[in-house]
Amino acid sequence: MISGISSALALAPAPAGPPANGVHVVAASAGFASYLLVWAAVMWGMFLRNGWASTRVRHSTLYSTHMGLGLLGLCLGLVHGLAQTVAPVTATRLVDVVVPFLNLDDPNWGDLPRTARLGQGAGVLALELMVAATLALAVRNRLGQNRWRAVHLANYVGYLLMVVHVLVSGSDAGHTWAWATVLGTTAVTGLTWVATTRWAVAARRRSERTLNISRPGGRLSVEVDPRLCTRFGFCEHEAPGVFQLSGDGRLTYDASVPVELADGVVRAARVCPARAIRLGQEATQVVMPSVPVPDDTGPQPTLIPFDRASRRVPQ
Amino acid sequence: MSPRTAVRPARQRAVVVGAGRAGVAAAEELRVAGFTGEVVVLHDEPTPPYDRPACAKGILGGRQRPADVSLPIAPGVDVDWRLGRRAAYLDPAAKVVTADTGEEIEYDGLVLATGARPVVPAGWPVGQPGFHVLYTVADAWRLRAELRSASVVVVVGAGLTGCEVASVVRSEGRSCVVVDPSDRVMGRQLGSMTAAHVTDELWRQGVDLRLGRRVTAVEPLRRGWLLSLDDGAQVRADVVVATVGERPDTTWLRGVPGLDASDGVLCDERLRVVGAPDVVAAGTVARWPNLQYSAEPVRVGQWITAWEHGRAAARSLLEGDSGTRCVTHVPRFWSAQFGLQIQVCGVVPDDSEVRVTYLRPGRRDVARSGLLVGHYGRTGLEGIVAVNATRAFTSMARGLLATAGPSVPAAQSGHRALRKLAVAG
Repeated sequence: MISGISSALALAPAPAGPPANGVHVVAASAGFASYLLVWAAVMWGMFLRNGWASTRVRHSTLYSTHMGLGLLGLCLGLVHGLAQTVAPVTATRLVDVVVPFLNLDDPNWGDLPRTARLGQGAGVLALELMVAATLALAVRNRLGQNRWRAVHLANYVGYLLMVVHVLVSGSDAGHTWAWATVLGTTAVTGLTWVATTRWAVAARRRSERTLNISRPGGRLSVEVDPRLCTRFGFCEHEAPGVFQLSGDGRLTYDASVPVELADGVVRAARVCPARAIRLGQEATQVVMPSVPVPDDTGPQPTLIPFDRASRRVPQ
Repeated sequence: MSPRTAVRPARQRAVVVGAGRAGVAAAEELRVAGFTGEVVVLHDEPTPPYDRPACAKGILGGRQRPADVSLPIAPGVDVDWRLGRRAAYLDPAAKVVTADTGEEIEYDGLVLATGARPVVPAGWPVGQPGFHVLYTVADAWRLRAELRSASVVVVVGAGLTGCEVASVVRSEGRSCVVVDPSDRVMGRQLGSMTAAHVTDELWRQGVDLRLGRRVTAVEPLRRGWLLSLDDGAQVRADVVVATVGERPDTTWLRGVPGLDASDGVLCDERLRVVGAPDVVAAGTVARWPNLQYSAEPVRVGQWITAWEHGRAAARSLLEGDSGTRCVTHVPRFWSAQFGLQIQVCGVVPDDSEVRVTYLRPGRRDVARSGLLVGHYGRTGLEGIVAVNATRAFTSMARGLLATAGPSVPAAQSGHRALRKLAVAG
């Protein structure tokens, strides 16, 4: 379908198309580079949101990378738009870079199909949305955190419009490498977004088994949700061997600890101010020692019976 | 339990009054320690147990909903939850707790963990639209709804909760006025040195601080409230949040013979309530000699304290008279506000010697750049306060926690006097 659309484009680098023009080459490459940079910025934003790599990279590094990629992508997008005004093969006036859909019926487009003309408008909209969302950074304090985040979400819409723009009116969209790159990156973004929505995360948690530290010799899996973790380090107070706060504010931890250390880890999970520590039991081969776990009286009462069993209270 | 109650024929029953952090920890610990009798928890709120610190933090800020802040309770713990009932009367001789619904619950062991209630000066219109206290999750949820449409919010009382509310208000881009009679915010909690630097940061972040001022009058406007301060200034507010203090919730224990419930419940060094057999207290209500520091009975109203107390009180209850372990405690708490990560471990009395470490010396925004304050007392390092210095705090706090244990010799401590008092009761 994609190649069908683009083969219909007058701008496609077919023999019948306009001669390769220096300005056009600059505009097209700037546009494509802009797309890739904006995509990287969107992905980086998801990294930030989900706290990925936060055990290895400082938050400020991730944040400045996100900002840098986004700003560079926007600047190249502006270059792309302005270059179109002087490219000889399009009907883009300066006003068309700012106001979308104004030149839909411009005769200078020649026999360019209507979808491609609409695609150009989508590109203008994308640029404007993203510039607006970026400028909102300046009034972030006045907006407040929650409203600023809502404005920032406009970048997702802008990114999707950008994808439409590249696919529909990109002069090189007919090449397999071009549309495959665009579609592939979009798919990666979409999948990442779906997998990290609140509902998807909740569903994954529901499917996990609940904690039952009842067998000696097993191992306990520890997971710290980097989105929740506030890195106060109270877990290290309780279980110093397992959790460690490093000098630049990252938290490292053992993802799997012997069940003998469970006491401290359970205490760490209880004391965590952010409720970020989750414990589970790993399916490992368990070698039962000779000491049996008593399970004779009453309702199975204890959370951690294996090391408390000897300290039963006289009744 | 003690041998005396063990002769009762029926299954034993432990009753926990209050399902905050302390009450839930006690109920869990009873099971962990192998108690096989009935565990009944009375709670005055109709909601399942939740994390109280999240009220002023996650819920007000909009990051969490009430369903997100439920307390994690170990799966399969067999507890009889009786929510929506206030304990109304205690008969320590007959070992019966009466709830406000008329239920009479006999107990073999009782844990008092009723926590605190917020207090406001008499005559303040708490509960009317736009005038809030902040203690329960329901309070936080109502306040959050009103913060959305407010443009000026006045916080009365610059304690930990008050400053956290102010932080949320500022992060939402609203104007915030903070009124407090002292000359700096959170002075009592953080020590005067750190509090001064944090106060500077609040000024820098645009909080309208009215320090050294009291509210003298509250008048309703057509929309919002008009507060008069003692310097004659008047402040118009869409929403008023009163965080002026809290008192232990022991009104229902007034008049119980033998109990000293004047400021919390007086306990011995093992958290057993003086004057009532087989009753322990935990959390904010417990006033006990913390032999870590002195033999003077004190109350500590913090969350980690409540958790450690709950477990220790359950142990003391099960050990009965045979136990010897004193409950000592190093207080710890935290707060995240205005981009500052504030942590405190130990005690920070104003007369202690202070040593300050600046993580990045020479910066004007001292608190934001990182600050570590050690408070030294008679026995050496007694308290640490850190602002944006989590790593350094953690290693020092670990050293401090390693010294946990009675530092005041039991012989000279006050618990003999407490025993006498118990006999008199």
